[in-house]
Amino acid sequence: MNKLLFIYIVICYLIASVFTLENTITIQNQLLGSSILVIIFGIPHGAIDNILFLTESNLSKKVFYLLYFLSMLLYCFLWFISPLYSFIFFLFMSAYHFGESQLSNYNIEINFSKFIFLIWGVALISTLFLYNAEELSNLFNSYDDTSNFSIIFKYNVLDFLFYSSNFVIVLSLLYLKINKLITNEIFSTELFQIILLHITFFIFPVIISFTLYFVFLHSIKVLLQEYSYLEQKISGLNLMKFIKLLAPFTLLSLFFFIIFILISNIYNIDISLLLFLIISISVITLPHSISMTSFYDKINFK
Amino acid sequence: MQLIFFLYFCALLIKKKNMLLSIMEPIAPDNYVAFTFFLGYIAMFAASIFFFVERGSVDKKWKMSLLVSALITGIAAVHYYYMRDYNLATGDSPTFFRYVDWILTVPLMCVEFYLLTKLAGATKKLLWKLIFASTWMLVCGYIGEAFNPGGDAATSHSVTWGILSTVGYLYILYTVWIGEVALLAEKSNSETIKKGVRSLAWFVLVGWAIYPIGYMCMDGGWLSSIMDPASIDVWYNIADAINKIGFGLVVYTIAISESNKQLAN
Repeated sequence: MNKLLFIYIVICYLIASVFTLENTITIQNQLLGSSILVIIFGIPHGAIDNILFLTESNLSKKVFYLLYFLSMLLYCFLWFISPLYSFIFFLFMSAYHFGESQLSNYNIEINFSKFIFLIWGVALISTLFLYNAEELSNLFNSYDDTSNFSIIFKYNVLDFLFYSSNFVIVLSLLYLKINKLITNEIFSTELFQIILLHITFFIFPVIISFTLYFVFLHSIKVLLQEYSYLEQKISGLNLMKFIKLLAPFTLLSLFFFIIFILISNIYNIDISLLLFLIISISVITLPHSISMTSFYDKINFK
Repeated sequence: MQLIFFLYFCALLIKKKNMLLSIMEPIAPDNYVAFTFFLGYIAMFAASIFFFVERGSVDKKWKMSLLVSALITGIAAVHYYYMRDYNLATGDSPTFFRYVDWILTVPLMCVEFYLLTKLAGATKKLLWKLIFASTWMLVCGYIGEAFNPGGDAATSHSVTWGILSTVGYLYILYTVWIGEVALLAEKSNSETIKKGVRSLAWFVLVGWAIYPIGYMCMDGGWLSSIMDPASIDVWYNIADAINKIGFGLVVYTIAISESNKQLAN
């Protein structure tokens, strides 16, 4: 268990105490807490993709930004053509990204490591969705433009993904352990983490569950990896300098988000806040996951 | 000396058994609580004898660790023997005796961490910190569970004392996984001790987690709808037996392995 997992456990106990005392945490408070944590840790973890990608790369800044924004535009276009397929693509892309961030630091040297990353993420997302199916289905159904997303809860697709991915990921971990590609310690920690995520996703509401994972087990972990990588590349890097590096794109993202909220309040824009959130997160996630794949290749190659 | 002590202990138990045979209630086949008390008593008594006898097989510096392991399971065995009778006679959960057992055995489990890392430089301060944290955890837990005023104040009482108790648990968890104990184990230059301390830390993380979960399953607790409060004794009994015997077995493995290494040198 590392410090992040310890913090995660402490926070789970704290939230459990609040639930015992108050019986519930209102949606408003859940969203408030979640937004604060996502703004402080979630957005910044993807705010230095440019620096990470361009370090030790032959690609020029212009080409990088061009490709970065082009991929975002393309994805926006895909959303315009088919929201449902774009949403499904977003889920699988996020699944791969989460799996990669979870397991890539073990530097697993097998041909199907990328498949394991994907399955780990599918297990994570399907577990979150299955345990909170009713809550999510109601949320999607509360807006016209997101109601067709609740199709993922039909035809037992989610059940199939939940059982198969969790089974395959445990089997994969066993395979890696038996073939000595990961240590017993890593195996136990990963297994424990999977069980812990199941418990958290089962007992807490979806917003709290996802925020806990996304902030403490994903974003902060990635921020620490980024800091430790840049420490070797930028002489005299300290926390203040690192925050300054994170600031521009974090603030820019927040600026655009606030602008949208203002515009949508002034003009009657034909898109729900939920769909807007999903689209904006997904279009940022696409180039971010590509940049992170390149980043993990770099740190593992070292 | 060991043999004399062991024979004396067995004679005491036989005498107690003869005294109690006449008043002992039979365990109904569906009484899992009483059955697991019985099973826990037998398992921990056997483990106690094993650790005590095996003290002779290890190097001098590991004898204390095995004695502590034998004491942990021995104390628990005596309590389980009593708790089974109590449960059979009253049908109630023996909360008081359970806490008496824990307040004696859990600090001893913390002593094991000190004994294991002593060679790497663990200080008495660490020992007292762990003992204090474990006692704090149990006293707060007991107040939360046994002195619940009921009514409107019931939840706030149990949550307040539950949080205070959890602080003690988290302190121990931090110390053995990330803090002083983990660092000392790393410093010990012995793979066996590193692995052993890590295994004991897993017991604290996973095995001990049943206690705060059990606490939350009390009547009116947040998890009482997930787990039936009446069945929590069964889980406590199983967890207690696994934790205490498992803890001792890890210590025994380290002691044997390190003693064999010493012999080979």
